[in-house]
Amino acid sequence: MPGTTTHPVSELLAQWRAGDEESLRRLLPLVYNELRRVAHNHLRRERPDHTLQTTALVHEAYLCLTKQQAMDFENRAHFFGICANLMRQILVQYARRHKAAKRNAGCVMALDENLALREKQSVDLVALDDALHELAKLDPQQCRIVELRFFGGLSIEETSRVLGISPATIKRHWTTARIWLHDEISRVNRDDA
Amino acid sequence: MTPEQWQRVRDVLAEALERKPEDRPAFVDGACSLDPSLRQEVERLLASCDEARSGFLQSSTFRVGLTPGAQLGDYEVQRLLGSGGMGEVYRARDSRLGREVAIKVLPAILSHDPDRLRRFEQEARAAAALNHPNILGVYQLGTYEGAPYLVSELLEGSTLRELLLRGAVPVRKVIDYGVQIARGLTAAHEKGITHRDLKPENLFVTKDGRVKILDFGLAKLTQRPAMLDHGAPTLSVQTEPGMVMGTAGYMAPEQVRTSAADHRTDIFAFGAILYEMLSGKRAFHKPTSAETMAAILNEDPAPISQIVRTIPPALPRIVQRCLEKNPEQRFQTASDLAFALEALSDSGATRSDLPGEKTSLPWRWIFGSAMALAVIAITFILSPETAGRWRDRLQWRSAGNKAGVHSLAVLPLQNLSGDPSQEYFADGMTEQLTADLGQISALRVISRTSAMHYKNTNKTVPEIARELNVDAVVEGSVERAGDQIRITAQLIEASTDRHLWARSYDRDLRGVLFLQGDVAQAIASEIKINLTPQEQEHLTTARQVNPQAHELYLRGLFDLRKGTPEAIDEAIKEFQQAITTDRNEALAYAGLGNAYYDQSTILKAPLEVMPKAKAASVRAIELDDSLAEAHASLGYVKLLFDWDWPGAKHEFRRALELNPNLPRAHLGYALYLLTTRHPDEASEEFNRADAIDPFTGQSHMDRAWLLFNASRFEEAIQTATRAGDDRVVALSSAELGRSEQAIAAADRAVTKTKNPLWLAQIASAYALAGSKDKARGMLINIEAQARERYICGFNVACLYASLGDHEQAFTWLEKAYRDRSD
Repeated sequence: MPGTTTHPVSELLAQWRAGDEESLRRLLPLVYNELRRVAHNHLRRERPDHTLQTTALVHEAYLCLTKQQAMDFENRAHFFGICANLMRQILVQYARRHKAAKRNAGCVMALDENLALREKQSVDLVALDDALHELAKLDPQQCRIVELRFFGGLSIEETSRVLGISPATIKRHWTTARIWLHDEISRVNRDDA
Repeated sequence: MTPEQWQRVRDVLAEALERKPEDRPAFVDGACSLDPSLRQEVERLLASCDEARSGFLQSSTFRVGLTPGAQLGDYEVQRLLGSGGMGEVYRARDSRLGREVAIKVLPAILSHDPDRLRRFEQEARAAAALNHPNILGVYQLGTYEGAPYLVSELLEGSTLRELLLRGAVPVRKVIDYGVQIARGLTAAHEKGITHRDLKPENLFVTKDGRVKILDFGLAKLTQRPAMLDHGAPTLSVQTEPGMVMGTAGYMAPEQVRTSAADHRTDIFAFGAILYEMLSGKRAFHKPTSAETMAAILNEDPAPISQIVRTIPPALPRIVQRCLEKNPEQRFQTASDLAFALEALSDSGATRSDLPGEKTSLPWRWIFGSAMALAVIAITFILSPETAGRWRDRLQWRSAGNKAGVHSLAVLPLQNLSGDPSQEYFADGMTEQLTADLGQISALRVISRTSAMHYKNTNKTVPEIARELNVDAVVEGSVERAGDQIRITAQLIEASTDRHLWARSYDRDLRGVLFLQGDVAQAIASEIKINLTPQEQEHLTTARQVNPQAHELYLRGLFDLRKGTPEAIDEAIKEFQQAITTDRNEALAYAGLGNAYYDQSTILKAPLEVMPKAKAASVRAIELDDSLAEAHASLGYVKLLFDWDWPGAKHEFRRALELNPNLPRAHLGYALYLLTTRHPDEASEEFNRADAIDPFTGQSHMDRAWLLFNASRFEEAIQTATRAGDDRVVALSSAELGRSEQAIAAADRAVTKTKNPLWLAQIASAYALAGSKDKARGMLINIEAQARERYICGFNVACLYASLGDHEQAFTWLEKAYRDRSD
């Protein structure tokens, strides 16, 4: 990435926020590579609870990229905004590659803290990704909201800030998008079965 | 569906959802009256909306796990049975032998050290080879993508923890389970295998009443190695916010102290489990794990006979003997223990003779199966509990530091050594941690002096935080075993009393400064505080210390902070010894500078001690320019002794740049500002000192004294009253001609001090208020003392002046000038 290494990430981020689209173009590959590296570390089952939290990943990537510079609030929302889509790509790619021969991941059981056994729903990331593609055809903005909230870990307020839409609207779109996605994924599963 | 159709569906759906469920059908009726297909779509989505809204996509935590249906060699993964800090357990089917098994996959990070992994494998194999009915049978073990896993028999039943959730276990069953556990332990101990992490979660009671001990050897894999290692600090326990840490309640004292364990460690844990089965209460259970560990070291649990009435008297005695603090006084072998318990059951009755009550718990499967090579898929767990927890955390995190923590107090770290003479060590660590955090300019950190008010307090964290006006509180403990140190620190959110973070750090004494920096840095990063590059550097740069010298330094610091004349003398000796031991111990020089300065005027002639204070502080700064305390001491010397105003200003500002939360530096800078006639700025500095040191009243005392000297007597009285400084109240009242008030205040003040310096000032107040005989009586006493020790001549001169004896006043003033009194 000649030329980019001389620009610290926080500077590119600031330039992009000031309206310079070129800096985003230079920023994306840097962020993508870093996110993938960090995600890969976590996917190697290194955490005791075998979980991967996107917010933590993005934060870690940010710290690595900016050499430990603290993240200010504005930068944070926008950086997470950039990462949401990259995170989706990385995780879905990973899930597709590792997916078992069987199409459906099925139900996963988990113990809650009291160790009482309860059935929990699980989401097949590949199916979710397919459904998101369908949703984007109906309303690209709703698809983006899901990306930011789910893959980026952004709060309603942060999503509102990134997209420039009121929190109330974000909330409504988020709820209806989830209902639609849930319905779509169940429909595809039924059809497959 | 077209985008336009979806938009209509979506809008009606969103509006319907804003209504109560019973009002929705009518609303949809009205909204879709002209469009049956719209209505059909909305109704369909509404019907499934609860499921979608309950947790679907709510958390962005992904679980990395094995996919059901995955074929792993001879085993087919069927489903996840459970997961926790130690990994995941899957149910699987062994197609070759046609049996069901459990597969436990452990975190890969545990196996990075091949030696540890090998030791674990040896031990797990040894345990597997035991083939004892009371130990979980392990069939196979291996690694998958670096993650160790074991395949074992699959059991039906529940853990003892689950049984205990319903309360105490009937005595008969306690004996039955106890005998089984003791037999399992006996078999393992005879092969030299210790469990090290025995607890109700690791004991499984099968459907037919058989007890199985789980996870032999695992503790060794997961336990912290740092007590043995030197070098990098090891993260041993980390909890989610809001969760109580691990299994401290079953650790034996020797484990708490040194991490050392032998088979008698298991016997202690077994005692704690017996206690809990009988009483339904944990033997050692406090709100924080630090307190729990302290209780393990120093307290005995409430006698069982007080909690349970009908109990064979021998049983509490057995429990008590298991729980002896000293391993030598416990049962020495598990078979002795099994024997003692068996003797209690009816004529040595065995398990099958003691019919158990039918359990109503749902069956649970646990563990068991084989050679696993799995396909990993990412699945997303939609547990409302986890989602909630993460949501809390995310909200808190995403708030950045806007709504977060801007101020905190480090409460005195608890001395877990059980030895009061080690108090100095815990206090020293508290001071150091406070100073490290104090370096962060974006954070208001309550001073050590004010935080020390909460030593051994009964107040709750929210109460303390309210009194100190802080957002969060750091509390924790220090344990020391020889040269090994462990700090356990927890960050608690004040408003909710919720644990945001907790972690233990281990180091040897040599690396103690790194350790404190690590803790401070972790806290800073946890609360997302903005660090300047310089602050970042200071927190990450530490140096090794000479253990012996550092120890002497900490003792000196402890004495210095006591503040009595004898203690300060003692402190000076200790600092000097530290310096003799290691000529580069910068902190000891800084302490020495501080100690000499503290003596000046009040105990010793400035001419005698100020040059020493200066030399020590200068040397400290040469060795380590980042020591705020040393810069502050040097600032005082330059201001009060050298009369070098620009030099003083430079030192105080440097001290405040290094540690904006150091009250001494604020007070010194205020004094400089007053001296150079900047009263408003000085007042601001005083206010800053107040905010970080609300309790000692030092700033009020200084301020009152300065106001008095500026002849602003009314204000001086007000401020002095707030600080409880009767001396200044007496002097100011006398100056205003309020004799009665002055004498009353002087009467109170005179009982509080023996220092001739203060007594001279109080005597002046008596003289001014007309009580000259009283003043003369005190003067005789003061002059007698002056022959034995130093006294600031200026104050004696003032006293003579108040009595009208000008000749003597001038004589004393000359002495004051010679001594360079300030």
